[in-house]
Amino acid sequence: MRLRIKTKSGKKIEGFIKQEGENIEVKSGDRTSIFKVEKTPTGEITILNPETGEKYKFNPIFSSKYEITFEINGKIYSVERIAGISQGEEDEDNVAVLKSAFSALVKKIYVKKGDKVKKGEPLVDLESMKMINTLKSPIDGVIEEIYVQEGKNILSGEKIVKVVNVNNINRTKEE
Amino acid sequence: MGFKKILVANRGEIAIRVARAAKELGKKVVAIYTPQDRGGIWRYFADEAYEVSSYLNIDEIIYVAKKSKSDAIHPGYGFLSEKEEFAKACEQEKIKFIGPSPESLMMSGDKAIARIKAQEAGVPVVPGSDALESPEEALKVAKSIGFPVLLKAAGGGGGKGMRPAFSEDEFFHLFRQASEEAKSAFGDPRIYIEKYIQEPKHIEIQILGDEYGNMIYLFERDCSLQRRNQKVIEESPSPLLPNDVRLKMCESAVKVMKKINYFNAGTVEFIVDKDWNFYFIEINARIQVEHPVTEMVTGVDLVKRQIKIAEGEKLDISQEDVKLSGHAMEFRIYAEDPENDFMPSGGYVSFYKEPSMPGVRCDGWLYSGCQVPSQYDPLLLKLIVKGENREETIRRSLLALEELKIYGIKNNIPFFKFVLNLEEFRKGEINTWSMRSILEKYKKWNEESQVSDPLILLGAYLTSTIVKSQAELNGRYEYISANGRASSWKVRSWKIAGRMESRGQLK
Repeated sequence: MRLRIKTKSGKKIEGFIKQEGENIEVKSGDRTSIFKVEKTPTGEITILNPETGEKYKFNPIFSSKYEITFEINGKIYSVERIAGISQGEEDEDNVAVLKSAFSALVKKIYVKKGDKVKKGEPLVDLESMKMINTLKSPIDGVIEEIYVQEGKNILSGEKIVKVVNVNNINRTKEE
Repeated sequence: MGFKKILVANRGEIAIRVARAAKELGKKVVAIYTPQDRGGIWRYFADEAYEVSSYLNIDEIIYVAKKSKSDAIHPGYGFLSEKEEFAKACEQEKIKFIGPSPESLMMSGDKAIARIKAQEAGVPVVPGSDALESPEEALKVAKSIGFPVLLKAAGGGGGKGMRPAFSEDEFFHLFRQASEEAKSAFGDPRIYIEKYIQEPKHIEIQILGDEYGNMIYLFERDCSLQRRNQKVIEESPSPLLPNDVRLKMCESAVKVMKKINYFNAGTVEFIVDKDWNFYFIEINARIQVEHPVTEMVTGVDLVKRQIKIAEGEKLDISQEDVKLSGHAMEFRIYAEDPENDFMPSGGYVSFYKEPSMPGVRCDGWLYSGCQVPSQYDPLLLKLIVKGENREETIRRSLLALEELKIYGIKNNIPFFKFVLNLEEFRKGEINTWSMRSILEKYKKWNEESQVSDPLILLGAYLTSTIVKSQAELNGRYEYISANGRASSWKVRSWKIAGRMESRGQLK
């Protein structure tokens, strides 16, 4: 199985995973590692590196279409799934695709497609567990796409709004 | 007057807690749930369960109580538990409200009245002034209270117009700033001044009183570890608290409660400064989330006592009977993401397993395959651990947190494991300001020495295979709530205020 993920720090990791019995082979770059996984019915999971003899306590926590969260030796790792086919990298300074960090109800949408927004301007209110969180625009820009509707429930990691830097577009047009 | 049937006007873990206590006393139990909570397991702890539109709808809940012939209502915590209006509505319908009187609720609910009552009882409150407009007058007051002082907007809260002032030099400047901010935020430039208590501990005293004026205290709970004013870990006894201060606080709590003619279970909250001076803050006129901590160290079942007191029984334990034994801690396991500013995280629980060992108690409502709706409080369960002493409790808690498994939704279990290993926590040196530095340390620790790329890939792979996808669980959830759907059809066809549903359809 091929897996492409992006870590919190923005690092992209790609690899192939092959499971044979209790041995799992992970190929990443030119490196191949073999791990052993021990699982008890009570949910205790241990990862073993037979080569080094290292043992890791492992807890799976969360998995969705968009992100995966787990715990290794007490530390949390939250990674984003990258779709199987490369869609071309987006310019992160000039394009911002806002995603929900939690499952929520879309309470209010303040903008519509084509609106100009300033950095920090509220875009969408999300409600979850009695708390309302306002998503604000991270850049000055134009709303290029709204992926959600008011009153709809969304999943953690789901795309909400795409904002494109307005200055950059203007400059391109002038040139 | 013994109750035959008790309606529990709440959801989640406290609904189960109250149902258990009531059943132990031989009562029938009535549960309520909302359409979002049809998968709520507390329905099955009750003898009857009815659907209501909201846990805040007084008319509907009273209607269900009357139709089901319940003779008492236990409100739990939150929702309607401290609403004077609800206690009154119960009284009018001759349904016993398991809690204090509406008059006590009115007095404890109004912060200004509660403060006056505490002062009348001779209990210290945080020294403060009335609303002030002139800076010169304000300085006079600040000097008489003693620096540092806190400037607070008279017109509203939320941190607007709030400034701590540490000396006379900066006072006028800060007063002007605070006043301007208060004016623009609330249209009221007036400021009041309060003693600024730095790095305080939050310690509260549990009391029990019957309807004949007998009252006892059940010692303290230390709830100093808080995030955004929400308690995270509670423990009893409070580490480092000198015994003479403990007793003084306990006696003060009883005095305040007697002053407002309080009966049933209640809590008096204090803040305590570094020199162990304590000041009254407020009264919690309900059973509290953290009540099991007290139950573990005193052996008194508070919820059962609440029911017996409401039945009109006299308190049959004296102050001398209440003894502290061992050390207990409670961990509030929330559905929130410690990696992402503790954002709430609802969803489907694909696997759930509770720990079990001596001195470990879980008050929760999860099961493998259940759904955590995102409309309500993110509290999933309370893990309560008791040991002979604090050190044993901490070690046992670490084991219990390791055994507790919740897969499918993000939760704060990893954060608790981190906190329990911190030196300042182990030493008991925690105050309500500690969280900020703890969070910074936690973030740094999580970022440092990450494991290798192949291991991260393997972790992601294992998680996606072990944690069942939402689609797979959907089928299971539908199966569990199939009865709920049947009843929802019934509810819609009736269209009456009470939205009744009989147990027959639940089976």
